[in-house]
Parts: sequence; structure tokens; C-alpha cells
Amino acid sequence: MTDSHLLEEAGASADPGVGLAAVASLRRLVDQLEQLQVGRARELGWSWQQVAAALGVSKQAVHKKYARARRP
Amino acid sequence: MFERFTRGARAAVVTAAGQARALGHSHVGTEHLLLGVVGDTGSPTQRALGRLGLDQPRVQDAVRRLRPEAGADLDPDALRSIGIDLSAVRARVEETFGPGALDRGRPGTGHVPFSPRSKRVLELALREARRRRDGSIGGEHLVLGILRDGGGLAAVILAEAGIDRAGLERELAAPDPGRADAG
Repeated sequence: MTDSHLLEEAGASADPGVGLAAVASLRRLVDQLEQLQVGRARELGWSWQQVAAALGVSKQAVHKKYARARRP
Repeated sequence: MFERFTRGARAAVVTAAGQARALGHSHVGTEHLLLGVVGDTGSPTQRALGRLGLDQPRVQDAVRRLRPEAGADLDPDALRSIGIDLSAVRARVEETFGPGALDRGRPGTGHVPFSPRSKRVLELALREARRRRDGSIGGEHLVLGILRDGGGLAAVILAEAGIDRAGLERELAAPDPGRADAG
């Protein structure tokens, strides 16, 4: 990567538009990772209680969000 | 109604639903229908729109720009600005979850409903086919339906490209230089 490219990036990150787009993308990335990991944990036999504890949220919250999709 | 759709128009509607899902949008809007039409490569309508300056990349860019939810997509450049290399994340995630894992929709929410306006556009497409005394509903009727309705993002995208109903009808009726090798 050239120096001018680096400078361009540094400049861009000060732009709120880029910063907000980064936050939106990061949130989306987290959602997708959470969904993949929760699905896998359940397939491997983790209880909702264990999944919730690992995520640091209530069992109700994680169950409400994923139970319907996972176990029809 | 769908039994009267041509193979291409049916593909366009299926593509529209797929695009809405892939983009993480909650409804199939008119813009997704337009994406479906310009994605039906080689069809007379796709080529007519292309000659008028509206191709698939241009519609995709416009959808990203105009849809408020577009910010919810994974933007590699934005993520790089805060030091996250999306391709590296993607590679690691795919090691465990398989190819395309990051791009898959949320399980159980696979069905993306049509917006009321999209439904109306489908009805208007049927009406356009009747008006033109065409036996089946093709991509051209979908676009004419979008123009007839006049609202929604697809109408905005067409207007930005300077495409109106008279211009499109003229282009559809014009001899098509690329037609010879098409079925």
C-alpha cells in the first residue's frame, strides 16, 4: 500500500459518513456472526441457558430471537 | 396471475425477491423488480434499457444509494476505515461455516414479502400487457407498470436515467442490433 493511499484512508475515517457506515456494517457483521455461532452452538447441543450466558444476555432474549428459526 | 408471466418475467420476480433478501431489505420493492429486469441478461427489455443507459451495475449503485437500509450491508471500505479487514473475517468465518456463510440471510426469515407498491406494479404490468394486446407479461410490462405507477424507488431510478414511457416504448419497438443471436 502506498503512502498516499494510507493518507487517503486516514482522511476518510474522519468523515462522519464513513464512520457511520462503518458502525452500520459492524452491527450487521455482529448480527451475522451471532446468528451463525448461536446456530452452531445449538447444533452441538448447547442449552439456551449456556448460549445466553456466553453472549452475556438473558435466556429469554436469546430464545426469543433464535428459537423459532432453529427449532420449528 | 404468474401463469401469464413469460419465463423472463418470472425469473425477474424471483431475482427481485432474492435481491431483496441478499441486501437485507425487509420488503421486495419496485427497485428489486427493476434489478430483476436488468438482471435478465439478453432479454429485449434488458437490452432496450441498456441502450437507454441503464444497466445492472447502474441500478445496483442507485439502489445502494437510495435505500435507507443500504447502510446495513457489509461495506468493506467502511470496515477497513476502522481497521477491520472484511476479507480476513470472511475467510475465518468460512473455515468454520462454509462458503458464503456471511452472506446468508437469517434462517427462518427467508420469505421477504412484496411491498404494496410492488404488488400494484405487478397488477399494472398485467394491465399494460392487455393494453398492448400482448399474450403474456414480460419484463417490458413490469417496467411500464413501474412507470405507470410513477412512485417508488424504481421510478426514481428510471427518471434519473432519463427514461420515460414514450422513450422506452420507442426503444422496445426499434430494431434491436443484438437480437439476431437470441432465441
